[in-house]
Amino acid sequence: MSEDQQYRLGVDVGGTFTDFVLLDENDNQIHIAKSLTTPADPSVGILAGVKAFDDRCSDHVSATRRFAHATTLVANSVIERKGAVTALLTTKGFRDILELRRHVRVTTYELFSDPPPPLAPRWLRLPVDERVFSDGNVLKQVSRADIEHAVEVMRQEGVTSVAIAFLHSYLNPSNERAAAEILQELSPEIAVTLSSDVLPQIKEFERTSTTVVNAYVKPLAQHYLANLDKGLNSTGYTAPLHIMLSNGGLGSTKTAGDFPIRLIESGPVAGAIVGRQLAELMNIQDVLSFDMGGTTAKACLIRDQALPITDELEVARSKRFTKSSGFPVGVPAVNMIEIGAGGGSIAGVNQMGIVQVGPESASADPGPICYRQGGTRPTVTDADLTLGYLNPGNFAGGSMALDADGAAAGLQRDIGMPQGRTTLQAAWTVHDVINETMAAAVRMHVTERGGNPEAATMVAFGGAGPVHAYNLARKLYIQKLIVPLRAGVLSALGLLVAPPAYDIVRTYKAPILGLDADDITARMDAMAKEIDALLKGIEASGERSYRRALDVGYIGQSYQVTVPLEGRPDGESVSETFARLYRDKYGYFYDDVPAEIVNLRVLGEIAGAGLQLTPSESGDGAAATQTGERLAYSASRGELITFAVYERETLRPGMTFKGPCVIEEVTSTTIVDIDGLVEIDEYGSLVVSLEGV
Amino acid sequence: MNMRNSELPLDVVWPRLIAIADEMATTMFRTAFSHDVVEVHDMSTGLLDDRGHLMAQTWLGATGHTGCMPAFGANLVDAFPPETVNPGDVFICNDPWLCNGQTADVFITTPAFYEGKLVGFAVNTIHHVDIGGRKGSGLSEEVFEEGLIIPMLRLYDAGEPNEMLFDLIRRNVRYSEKMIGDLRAQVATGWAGCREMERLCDEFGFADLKEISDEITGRTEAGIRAGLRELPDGEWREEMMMDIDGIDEPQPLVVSVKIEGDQIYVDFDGTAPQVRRPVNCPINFSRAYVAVPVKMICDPSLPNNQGTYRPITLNAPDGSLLNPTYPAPCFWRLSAGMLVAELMFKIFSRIVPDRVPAESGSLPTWQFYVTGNKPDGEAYALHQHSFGGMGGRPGRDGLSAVSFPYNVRDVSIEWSEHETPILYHARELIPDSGGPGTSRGGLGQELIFEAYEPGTAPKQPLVFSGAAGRMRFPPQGLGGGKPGALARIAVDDKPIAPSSSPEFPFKIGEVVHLQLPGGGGHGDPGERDPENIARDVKAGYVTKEGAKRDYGRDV
Repeated sequence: MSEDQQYRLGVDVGGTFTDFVLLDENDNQIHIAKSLTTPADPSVGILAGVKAFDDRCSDHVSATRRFAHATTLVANSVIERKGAVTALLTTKGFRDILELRRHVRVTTYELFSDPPPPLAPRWLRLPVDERVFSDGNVLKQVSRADIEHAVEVMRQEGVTSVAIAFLHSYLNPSNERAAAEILQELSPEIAVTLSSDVLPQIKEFERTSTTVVNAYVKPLAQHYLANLDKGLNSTGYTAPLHIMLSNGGLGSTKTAGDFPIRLIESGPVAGAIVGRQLAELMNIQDVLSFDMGGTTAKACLIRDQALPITDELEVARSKRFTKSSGFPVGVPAVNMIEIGAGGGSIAGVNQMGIVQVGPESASADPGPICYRQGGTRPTVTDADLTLGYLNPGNFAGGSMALDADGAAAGLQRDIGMPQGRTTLQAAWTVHDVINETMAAAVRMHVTERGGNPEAATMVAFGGAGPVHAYNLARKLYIQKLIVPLRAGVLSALGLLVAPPAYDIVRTYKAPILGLDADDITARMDAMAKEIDALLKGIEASGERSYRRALDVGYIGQSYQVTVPLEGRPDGESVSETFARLYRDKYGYFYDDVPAEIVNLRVLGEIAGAGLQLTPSESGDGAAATQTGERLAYSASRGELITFAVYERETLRPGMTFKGPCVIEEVTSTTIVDIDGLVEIDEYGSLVVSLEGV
Repeated sequence: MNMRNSELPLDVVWPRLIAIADEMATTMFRTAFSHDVVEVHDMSTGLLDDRGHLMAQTWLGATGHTGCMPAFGANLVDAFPPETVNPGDVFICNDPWLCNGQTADVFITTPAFYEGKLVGFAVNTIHHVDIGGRKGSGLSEEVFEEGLIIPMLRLYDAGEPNEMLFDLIRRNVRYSEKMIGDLRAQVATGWAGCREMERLCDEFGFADLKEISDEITGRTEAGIRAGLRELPDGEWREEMMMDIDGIDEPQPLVVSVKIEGDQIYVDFDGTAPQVRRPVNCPINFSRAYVAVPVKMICDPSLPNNQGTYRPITLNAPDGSLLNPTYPAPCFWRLSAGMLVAELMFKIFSRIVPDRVPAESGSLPTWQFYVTGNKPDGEAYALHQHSFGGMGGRPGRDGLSAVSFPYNVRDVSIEWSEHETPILYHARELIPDSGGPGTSRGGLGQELIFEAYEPGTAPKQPLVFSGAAGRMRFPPQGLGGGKPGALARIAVDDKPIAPSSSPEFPFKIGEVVHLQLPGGGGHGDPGERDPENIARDVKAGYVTKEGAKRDYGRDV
């Protein structure tokens, strides 16, 4: 790499649009571009889209140092069921684990609400006589005859990818490996995924499901990544292609191709990365990152400036946003929630006779009524416009004139009339109900994490985030709200600041008292070695850092806390840390119940250059200048009152002013009610204190 | 229709009440110890107003728990009238006649106060890992054998824990650490619910929740009534037979239904008298399974609350299997209680056959324990839920081996094998077990297991006990559909006599086979789409012989 190389490029391929962010490391300038996604082969759209930078940064192709790519390809191909013809080898007697789904239904009272059919149909779930017991003993070796038979069936059925998931393989993978070896010998062209590689953790349904999803998307992901890599090389890029993983780290194309399951949250995770980065820059302990766009909102509680990780994800839910209706995917991912709530969420009166907003969305096409693109049903954006929160003449920098009359008429027709309310009341109800939906989801997310929303600072971004942040914060009793500059496009920056990273989690059950330090250390050394090999595939040089941790819980309790390890594990100090963390998280702990280790965790990363927020030019004590005023709805007063209007570009560090006010910038609008106080910090961020909340 | 209370902020408050119940469930999962709660979801949470009326419940949770809450609410305010309730109180109860019909289900209730005035209660229930007694014996003759019975008592009195009661419980149960840990989790769950209820009152300035409660339960009630009005008036009667250990002749369960406008009258007259086996079903649980099918058929979309139960009038003869009197044993009351749901579906199938599944092998749920000792003498218990197939539905096959209409999960094989020295040979669907029909019944499943010798005390037998059914009378088809496969239990291929609460010992080296029943078929099998038959054969849901025999097709 030469000294001149100076750019970092991030490309986020979404369902409709592909976003490009280019950071010039020399002057910290950020350039943004957008193009239509080309679903048939997204690499076509990418290669065309990057050309948009040719004018502004002529040397960007040759001088890009890091190329980070996020994609919804994996999640979408599962949702749309466009993956490979996939077979599953299971322990004989257990071929229906995948279909039985632990027997639970999707909703309690509906007779016709079914889960999605398994990705591997029963004729491709092929039993193999073999058995490992829960003590790790091999009770039966793999039957070669059964695998030979399976290969026959797979040939007839045109199978191109196979998952192998045997009972207790998380303890002893030897039978899975033996089966894979025979399989490769008989059928070398077939893609293989082992459950002991993908998710070496107890619970056969969740592990099998994860393995099958991985196998299902593997050929497609490998093909796509190879194409993209080749295309970029031919265009002249020399920077290695990095892929955004669900855990918030960047991986190599090899990792992404072997374990595409790690890309499930590749797209949505970027916002949380930005939230974490801001928490660190501003040194805030608890940040609630809140990212609201056109179709969905994402929220993530970031504590102690570390990205929270979960192993409980689901993909392709048959009932949107309903737990247990999709395929469990148990690989490490940033623990965030995705809510069917965005500017495009459609409002109407439901069977309960009350107003429901979302999860159905008008998306970008046909969009809200006020976009004049054919949308006929009122959306959150229409309500926000009617409430005076959006400026019909200055939306998206004035590039789109909004139809305020159309929006109001739609709200009146679908909400006001049937509910006996005024148009304004109807609009407020829509705004309030979508906030309530988000608040409920956030509370649940925070409760699951053992946190307290009141103690958090909300960082709001995304196109609709700052419009809703203030009233949402009130519902959550949050007292401080930060809206960074360029809030509307901020999440794409997450791609540029993510470090190359990989983590491995292994089930290892042992009581804390009398733990075997040598054994644990040896196992973790081996895990670190595996990670090191993977990181080498991303960048040969660069400083590596490793973090080790134990998941510890009370014996019998199914939830654990992650206890960081410094050096060799020592029973007593692990116990102490566990008790402290547990009390922090849940408010109490039990001194009369023994604790046990459940998982070993190792995370390795290459130190990445973080995002540097540029201090804004000082205002030298000048007061903020109001550029106008307009009527908007005050939640505190319950009526339209005059809000001051400020232009974001004119605000300088040190300025302070009070609500009620609207702060407009090209990519978003921030609303502050009468009890809010706004201060501009050194980076140009709006810091809003909610008084008396 | 919504004008009447358009000033109530119902759009926000109704979802909020449900969200509070969900948040309670989340708190419970996070703090509970037993697998039955965290993994199986054998629990529920809800909110009552200060009159004990059920306002909201979590979307999760077992239908048997949720359906008993209205009756529990009435019993609660009877025992503790509002003037006797203080902030910081926590109430406990597991009396089968006041709660869920089973000693293992313990209710914890926490009063919420706003500005010094009682506004409601947060209630939650857990199926506990143990409650003492004979560990879910299938042979109990009186409820006293089924563990500790806790009447309506204070577990906390104005914030002070009742240590004597804690000590009493601790001394009476197995695995007391887990059990007490789960009780604590229930208390934390209650506090979480109360805090949010109090905040809700504060945010909206509600002096109490009666008006809100009446409005939302009124809407759910109206939904059910609208569903009932769509059905023709009339009277129907259905009967099912139940095998009971120690009684030669199968015993009848009888349900008569009269629909008059938007009211439904249900009568258990003709049902057999209570028995000295733990399959008697106390009235609260019987009522819950009257209500579940009514809700599923009349209006599944609205949230469940007190309103669901108002259009239902129930008459149950005292001292019968479906309304036994104290001290009848009732630990496996779901064997009879869930058949109430089937009887209701059977009656609805005569009224609206195009909206109802055929009989389901998943009724009743098989819930069982396998108990034994490890070589060092330590006791263990495998607790498992297992399910047969759902009946074929109009236009759609029944789901195989599914928790219907209950909604809980199983314990994973790997976890079971970790916690106990039980070695499974199979958990798999049984080909040809789904009743033939235009829509096929869901398949039953087979569980095969034995003791893993190195982990088991030599010479000591293991004991299987639990709830079961359909071992003599298979789930019937509907509209020309054929029955699903019978259930069967065998030890080393020696079948056990049909029973609704089987209990039997088995030795190391003996293999236990459980075959759970398939669902009945819906519609004439001759009308089944040949493509579906071919696909079933390819998948092995139906054998070639089965296709020939049941559908007259060579595949």
